[in-house]
Amino acid sequence: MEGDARLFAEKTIETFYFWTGVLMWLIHAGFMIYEAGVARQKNVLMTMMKNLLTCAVITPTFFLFGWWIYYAFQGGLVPADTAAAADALPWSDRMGPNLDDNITGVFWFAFLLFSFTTASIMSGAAIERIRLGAYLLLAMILGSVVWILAAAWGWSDGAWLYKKFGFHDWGAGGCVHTVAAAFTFGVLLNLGPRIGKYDDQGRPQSIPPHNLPMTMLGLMLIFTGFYAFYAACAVFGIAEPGADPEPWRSIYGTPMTLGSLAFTVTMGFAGGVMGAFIVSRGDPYWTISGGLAGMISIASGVDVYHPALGYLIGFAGGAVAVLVGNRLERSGIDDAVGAIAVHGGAGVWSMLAMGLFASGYPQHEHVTSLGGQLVGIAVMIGVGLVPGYLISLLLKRAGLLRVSREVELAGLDVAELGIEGVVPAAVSGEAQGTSIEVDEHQARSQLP
Amino acid sequence: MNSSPVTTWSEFDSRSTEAIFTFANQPLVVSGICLLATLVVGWFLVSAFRFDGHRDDAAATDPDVPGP
Repeated sequence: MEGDARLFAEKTIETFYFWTGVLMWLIHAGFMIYEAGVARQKNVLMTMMKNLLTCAVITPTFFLFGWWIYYAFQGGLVPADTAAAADALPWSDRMGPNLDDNITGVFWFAFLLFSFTTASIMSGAAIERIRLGAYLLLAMILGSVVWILAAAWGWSDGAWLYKKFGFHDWGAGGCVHTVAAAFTFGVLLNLGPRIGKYDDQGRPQSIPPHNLPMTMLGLMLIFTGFYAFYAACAVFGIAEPGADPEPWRSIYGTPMTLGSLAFTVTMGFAGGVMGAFIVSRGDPYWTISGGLAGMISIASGVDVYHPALGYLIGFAGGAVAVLVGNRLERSGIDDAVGAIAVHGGAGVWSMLAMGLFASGYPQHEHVTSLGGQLVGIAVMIGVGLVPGYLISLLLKRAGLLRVSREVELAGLDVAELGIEGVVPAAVSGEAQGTSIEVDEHQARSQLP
Repeated sequence: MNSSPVTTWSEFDSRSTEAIFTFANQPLVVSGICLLATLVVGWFLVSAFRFDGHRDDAAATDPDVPGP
């Protein structure tokens, strides 16, 4: 009976994480639609292709070495020879169908979806001029090496940032959002802006989304998927026989409830939308991006924030995203979707807010503190920025980073795919309502 | 800012501990945060009304801006 109860509990856990992973695919459907809406018509299909290929290139590499990195590097840069690391090697008994292990597969799956997210953060920023091969190499390194190393250091039960400094980043505002944004910033420094983004005096020019409603719909899908992302961050434990019932726990082992997500993620979203609306003076793009910034801003302390505090932190995060985005644009950084502002600005704010407003929480023998959070911020930025900058610099020196001027001007869809992703309205006959006239003409001609 | 309602790990991990949110042991602070949140919602609503007014003014002076 005891064994049956345990197996039932393990199957419940397996089911829970399996479906969080499935629902997290909405994030990637959302990123695809969102970025395609931001791209100009001539680049829509190639933008979507990059999103698709992101998932394809990260999946096998995360299986082959990403998962092992998570378990092997929790103490620093020297790989540990532990049982957990050995179990994460791709030829381990646990890395495949195993009747004695209901957990590893679904955990790997959930982490894989986090990996997709990190690369998708970069993909939008670099659209319309990065070469496909360069992008996929960078996506693979970010998604299967860099972020998971940061997660090992700051988002695992053996993480040295947690063990030595009491770092607390419950929903991965640091190791997912900040690391990906810092990596992206390093890439954009070498990639440069799109042709036409800046005039001769270096003043930024507007390149508006070709389909803003599409972009807004994409973000709504991302919001939905983020609830699953956060649910997957909660640890569904099993009590030992005779022990007290086991609560939900953070990755650091601190007790929590899933209800904290329902309260605080939603309040953070609302605050982010309002903050971005006010600061951007009602700009639709920034207002909805503020919702995402709000959901990221509360990430580090979702498990402990009072919901009203989460709302205020989200509000500040929405405002921060707009201000950082405008500042970056004026500085010559052409981030096509504002990814650095939303994920980096709000990600850093998330870790900082945890230290400012939620210090003093015990974590086994450690305590959350502002100092620990500041160390975490510095590490997360460095882990992302250094490889992003150096690898893209090598690609740039080799002439492999950016498409040619001719290709960029012609548009990537025709130049690289040989087809137009979006047929211009004037060609399709929709511009002047002629498609309706044609239909009516055809209908009349078919009358007896 | 120390906002934890629990001070030790055994207290935090105890079945008897209930509210664990920030400032749970300082109800006045929680009330203040809620009041501040209410004020921010008010600020947002005022901004929304001013936003409408801004668009109305623009429509009155610029024929290219759609009117209400």
